[in-house]
This record gives sequence, C-alpha cells and structure tokens, in this order.
Amino acid sequence: MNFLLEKQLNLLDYALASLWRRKLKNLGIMSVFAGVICLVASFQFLTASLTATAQDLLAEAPEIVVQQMSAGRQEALPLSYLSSLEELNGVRTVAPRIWGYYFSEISGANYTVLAVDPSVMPKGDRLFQAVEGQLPSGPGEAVLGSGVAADLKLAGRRSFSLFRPDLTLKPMQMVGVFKPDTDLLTADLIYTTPDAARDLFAIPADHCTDLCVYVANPREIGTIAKKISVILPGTRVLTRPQISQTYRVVFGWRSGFASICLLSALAAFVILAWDKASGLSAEEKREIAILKVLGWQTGDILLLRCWESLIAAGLAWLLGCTAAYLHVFWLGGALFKPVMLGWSVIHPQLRLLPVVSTADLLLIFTMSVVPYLAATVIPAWRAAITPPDAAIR
Amino acid sequence: MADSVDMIVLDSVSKIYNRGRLNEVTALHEVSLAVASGSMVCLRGASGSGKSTLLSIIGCVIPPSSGRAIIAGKPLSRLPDRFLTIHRRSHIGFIFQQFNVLPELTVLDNVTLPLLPLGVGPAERRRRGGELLAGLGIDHRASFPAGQISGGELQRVAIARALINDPPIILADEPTAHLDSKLSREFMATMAELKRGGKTIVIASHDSLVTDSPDLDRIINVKDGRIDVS
Repeated sequence: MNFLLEKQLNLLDYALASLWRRKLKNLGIMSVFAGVICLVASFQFLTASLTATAQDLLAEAPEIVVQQMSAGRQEALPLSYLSSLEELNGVRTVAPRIWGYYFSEISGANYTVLAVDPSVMPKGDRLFQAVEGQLPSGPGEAVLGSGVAADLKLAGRRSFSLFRPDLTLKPMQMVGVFKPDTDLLTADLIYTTPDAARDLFAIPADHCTDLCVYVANPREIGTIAKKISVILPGTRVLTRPQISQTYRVVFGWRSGFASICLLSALAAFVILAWDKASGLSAEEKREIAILKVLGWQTGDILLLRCWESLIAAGLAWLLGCTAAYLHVFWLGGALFKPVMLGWSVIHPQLRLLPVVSTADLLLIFTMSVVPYLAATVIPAWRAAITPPDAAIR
Repeated sequence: MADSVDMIVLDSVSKIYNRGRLNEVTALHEVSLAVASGSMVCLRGASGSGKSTLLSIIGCVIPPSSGRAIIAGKPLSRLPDRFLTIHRRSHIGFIFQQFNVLPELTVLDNVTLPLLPLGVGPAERRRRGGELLAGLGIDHRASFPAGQISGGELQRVAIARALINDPPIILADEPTAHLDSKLSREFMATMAELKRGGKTIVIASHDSLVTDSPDLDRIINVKDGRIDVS
C-alpha cells in the first residue's frame, strides 16, 4: 500500500484509540458541541423550510396585486378600474378582492379577512383546494383558518359574530376550514364572500381593497405591472416575485438575528475549547513529548490532532445536524418556531417541508468544525514545537 | 579528535537554556568527547550535573547552543527540528528513567509507536514488535495494557521500543533508577548483548550496578556541566 496512505491510516487508527482512551472527556465535549450545532442548524433548516413552504404556497397566488393608495395609506378602490385592466394585453383575468384585518378584543388576536369570488378566479387556485367543507356562497358564510377556529372557541358550533365598525354585530356561519398544510398562510384567515366582507368592513358595494391580476405569460409580469402603474396612477402595484422576496427577507432577517445569538454561543464554545486545549494536561504534554522523542515529526502530531478533532467535531456536526433535522421536520421546530413565525396570538401549525441543501450543511460545517479544529490543533502545535527533553525526564 | 569509527563526536559543545533572560542556565560548558562505534560507555554524575542534557544532545532531541555535534556521521549543530527528528528516529533508540510508556496502550502498541509515522502497516508492526518482545521474553504480555505490567517488564518494553527501528545507537537515561538489583543486572546483561550485536550504547547513571559493570568500555564523569578529567 502507498506509504502516505498507510501513514494516514496508522494516524487515524491511533487517533480513534486516543479518543476512546479519553472517552468521558471527549463525549462531554462532543455532546455540548452537538447541542450548539443543533441549535444553529435548526435555525438554518427552519429558515430554508419556511421560505420553501411560503414559496410553494405563493406559487399560485395572483401574479399582480393592485391597491389604491392615498396619503401613503391603502384605501378601497373602485371596481371601475377592472375594465381598464382587463383590456391590457397579456392579462388573463382580473379578480376583485377584499382583504382586511379584524382585531378581536376578546383574545387580542388579529384575523385576516379575505373575500374573493371563486367564479372569477382562475381554475386550480390552491386556496380553494385547501378548503375542507364548502366554499362560502350565502350571506355571512365563511371558511376559517385553524388558528381562527381555535381562537373563536366554537366548540362544535358553526355560527359566530364579528363587530362591524359601528359596533353592531355581523352574524357569520362557518362552512369549512383550511387544511393544516397551508397553515403558514391560512392560520389566521377568515375567507368569506365579497358582500359579507364589505358589510363587515363597511366598504361601499362598488369598491374592493385590491384587484388580483392574473397574467398569461409570467415573463410579462414586470411589463404589465409597469403599464398598470401608468394607466392607474395613485395605485400600488405588487408583483408575486416582490411578495416572495418579502417572505425571504422577513424569514432571513429573523433567522439572521437568531443566528447571531446562536453564533455567540458557538463562539463561546470555541473559546472554551481553545482555553481547554491550550491548557493541555500534563499527561497530554507528556504524550506529545514521548511521541516527539520516538521520532514523530511536529507535522505527524498535528495530523494526529487534526484527525482527533475532525472525528470529534465531525461526529458532533453529524449528530447536531441529525438532531436539528428531527427537531425541525419531526417536532415542527418547536423550540424556535415562535421566533421565526412571529409572536402573534394565532400561530400557524403548518407541517414544514423538509428542505436541506448541501450549501446549508457546508455552511454549518465551516462555521463550527473549522474553528474547533483551529482551537484544538494550534495549542497542540505549540506543545509539539517545544523541545521535549524536559517533559520526558 | 574525531576518529573514522567514532559513532558520537562532540566538540566544544555548550548548552545554555533561557539565553539572555534572567533565568539563563548553562547546562554544558564546552564538552568534547567521542564514543567509538560498538562500544558501551557510561556518563556518571550526580543529579543536575548535565548528564541528561548531554544525552539529549547526543539523542538529537535538542541542538547544542554552540560547538559541533556529529552523530552517526551527521553534523547536527545547525539542523532544523524536522531533520533532527528524521535523524533521531533512524539512528537513536531511547530508554528513559521513567520508562515513558503510555499506560493505556497495550505493550505491543507501545513498542511499535515509532513505526506509525513511517507508514508501516499493522501486520508488519505486529511481526517486528512480536519478535522483539519474544527476544526479551515478554511476548506473553503483548496484549496487556502497559499500565498493568511490572517494573521489570516495563523496562523490557522500553528496550523493545528503543530497538524497533534497529538504530545503531542506544541511549539510556538512569535506566535502573526504578529497578531492584536483580532487574538492574538483567538490564545490563541485555545491554551487553546489544553491544555484542554492534550497537553503540551510552548510559547516563550514577548507579553502582551500572558503573561497576565489566561490560562498560569507558566511564565519563560529568560534573557541573563539564567532563571531569580529575
């Protein structure tokens, strides 16, 4: 066998035996390290999964949403805009929508109220496919997100009431609920008919809050959005890529913030490892000195320490990432979901899509294993370049 | 002063520790000596006399601060650590006062430690280590952890380890300090046998069982870092 390969195998064999000799100490370090890696990896996986889940759910959302703006705030827009949008080349269909928020003073939760006529929506919209029960059609009928249904404490009842702006009660009837796998977008949602929503928010009958524009060719989204801005000045034109980007930014920001906190923990661990390794025990120093006297080069000792650290840190990385996978995709990221999804009263209970990229794994490896290697190998190098005569007498 | 058959030649060798600092110590003062190939000599002196430092320089563990050291034909004075190590592992076998075995490793693993960075495979390591242990009569202890065997057996493990690379020079630092008189005689008998096999042996000791050995070719007295010729 090749000399260099045989030498590496010998050093690897010795490193494994060496780790086993100090198994209690090494197991302790590996457990703490795996725990820290698990926390960092959980955030990374959770961010990737939430972004992927949101992108998946947004895949069939309207390509363009038009809203009326006045003094920098959104207000209802007239349905008369509809015809001018439908005339634009490349527009498949335009659906008026009412989208608003209802604050429940009883629970302190904010519900999202959405109303759109299914007959004018393109076939196959996943919002309608995600309904268990019926779609709302009669007066006051609504489909509720799981969070709203729980928050209203209906307990088997189907009827409930919401307050209009003038504090009169608007009677409603639950005719269905959204499936749990759409929770990220529907947990706080009340989906009802346009007439019911107008009644609830006191919006005039010939107005809506926004217009959903569906485009035939996705490549023309940007061009059509620009045209809409020109023909309807004073409106805000949002494209689906912009909304997707917003989700990415929101999750990315939260993940970044949390990662900074966790990286501090990782840094603390590496400093601890450095401190521990730089204060090599007398036994470890003696072993290095013996190996040196017996003809081991400084490089051989560094290679040995590299193997030891790589095995310990690599195992910790493997354990940490596996634990993070189980935590995020089996336990739903229970520890961190509140941070990533916000601290709202109504919490999405979605099942996360398992998304783990090689880049994420490599990033975690680089952030954790490499600093640990440096923290343990450099002190060993310092011990190895010290003349060994004193230590072996 | 160097002879063509001298295995070890030191010429005005000095060793100064912590040079230029407040705690500067001169361990050796211009020591000159030569040891012929195939001979057995003893460095005799009290603790702190400089024997171990002299042995460390001969063993290529530390370079001299000044002077010339030629070990197995190679001048070492200016060699960097990397080349000192290469020369050491191919030419020097060490036997330490404390034996310096790793107690958690087996006897065989201790003996074959010097072979690991040389890329010698496990089968060959077992063969060479086994032969040496059998020659020293402790092959039955090969798989025992070194921490569980007796002092005499440890000494033989240390000898086997020193011989594993078949070096021409054997250095022993106070090798009988932890042995009773019977084991000390056995140790000297083993050294005498190695000498007859052509090894050059340098023993640092102040044990009379060593210094009185008839197998010694020469005794070099070391006192206060100098060769004492009185």
